[in-house]
Amino acid sequence: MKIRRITLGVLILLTVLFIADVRVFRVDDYVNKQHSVHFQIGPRTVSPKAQFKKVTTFSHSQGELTALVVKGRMGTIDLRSTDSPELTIHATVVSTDEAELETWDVEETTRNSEIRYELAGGESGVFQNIGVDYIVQVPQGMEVHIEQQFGEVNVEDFVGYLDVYTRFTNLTVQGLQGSVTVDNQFGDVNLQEIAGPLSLTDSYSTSNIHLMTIDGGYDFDVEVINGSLKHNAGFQVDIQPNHVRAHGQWGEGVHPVVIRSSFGTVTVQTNKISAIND
Amino acid sequence: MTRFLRLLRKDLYASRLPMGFLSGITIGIMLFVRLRVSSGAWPVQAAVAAVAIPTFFLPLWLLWQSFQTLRIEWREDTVYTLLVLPVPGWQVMLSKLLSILAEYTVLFVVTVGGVLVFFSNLLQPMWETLPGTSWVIWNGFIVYLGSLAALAGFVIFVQLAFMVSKMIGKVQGLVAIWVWVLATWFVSRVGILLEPLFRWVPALPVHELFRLQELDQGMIIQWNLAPQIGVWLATLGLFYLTSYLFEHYVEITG
Repeated sequence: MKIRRITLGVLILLTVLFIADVRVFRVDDYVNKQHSVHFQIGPRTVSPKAQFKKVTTFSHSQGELTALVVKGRMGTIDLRSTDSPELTIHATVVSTDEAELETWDVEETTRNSEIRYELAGGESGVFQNIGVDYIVQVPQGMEVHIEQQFGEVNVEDFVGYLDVYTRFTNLTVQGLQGSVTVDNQFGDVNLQEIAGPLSLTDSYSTSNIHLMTIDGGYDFDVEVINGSLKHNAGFQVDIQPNHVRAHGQWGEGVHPVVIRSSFGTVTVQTNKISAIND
Repeated sequence: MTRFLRLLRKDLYASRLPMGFLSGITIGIMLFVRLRVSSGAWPVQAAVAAVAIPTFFLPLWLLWQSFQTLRIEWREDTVYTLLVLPVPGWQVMLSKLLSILAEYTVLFVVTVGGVLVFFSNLLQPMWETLPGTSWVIWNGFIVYLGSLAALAGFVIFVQLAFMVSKMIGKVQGLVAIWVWVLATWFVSRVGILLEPLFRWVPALPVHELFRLQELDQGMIIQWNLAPQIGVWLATLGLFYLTSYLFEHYVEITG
């Protein structure tokens, strides 16, 4: 009987402590301050809470430069074409840690006709608490290669050759004349008002593509594995288990539109349904 | 050691039927879903359900099973024999814990094997996005070990809950559930309280352990182990407390 009373007493004591603990230290305090298991998932979202910034502006006359490479992470890349022959890059390195920020910079390197911007530095060489935002303005007709992880890429009124590699990133292109190649995983792709050849490879994403009328028309080659395809382009569709293949031509079928998607949803819209020839 | 192994063998023997039954059910569900998918009656996404059902159900079953392995000793009056055996209480508890972990291991292997046999070709595009077979095997093994450790912790709480409910003697089911909740809360608080003592322990680079850099560069996950060490110590303490209570104070009747 004695041990039963002691056990009961201990249980009551622990219950009182438990209730007091839950009431005094609220649940959100646990989450915010006192993790019993603390995961640092990095690269963490730096931009919204970043307290420290380092801004650098690069400006060049296009001259012999024909290609631009921008590598970003944990931030936003804004790109647009301008009529000016000037190439302008505003790079903002952001961090929640001032000491960490000091060790990082955006590095500019030039090789032949290619100019490249990317984060460099860091004592450990490991990206942690660090991110970078870019605002890029390029002369029309340039070849631009963008690599982005964990963030966003926004392209507006672009004229030239665009090549985008994204992971865990949402990509939006609003208005493009030229060609676009996208390799994307784990992010949404929204390509609007595209006029030119297109190549899209994506996984685990939702992709919306809106193509504009173009001289020579388009030749569509679409393959969707374990996903769904929506279109108003009058494709000839071959549906197999877990696998959809679609073909079709718009106009003379000169410009290729190649889409390879797995575990995602692809929507293809054209602005002239009647112009499609199967 | 021999006595402990005999105990373990007894517990493993007792769990063979539910283990076989669950393995059969798991394989049966997978086979059924595979046939439905192959015939085109169900979409390929149904394969996820075939994997998810055992994945979610098995931990619940194993927690119940850990309660049941103790309960059955009372129901069949074999607890008398256990208490007069010349083995310490912790060995009795440990053998029951290991038998549950063995059961989990078998069901884990059955589930993974079932996925490979029935769904590997459907998942081919997913495999292609992964770095390689060795990467998958290594990460699968780490996930297995991690889930094994987590399950062991929860089983220890269940064992304590059962012992305390037997000591209280009344409304045993409710007491057991409440003790389980309190035990979970208690170890988490001990972990936080002891955290300053273990701040010197370096964070575990999970991204290196799981070789995530091979999947995608720039992915960094670090696990701050300082609070976790207190949790582990407290869980170990509860295991010894359960064993002590079983050996010295447990009520045989009821």
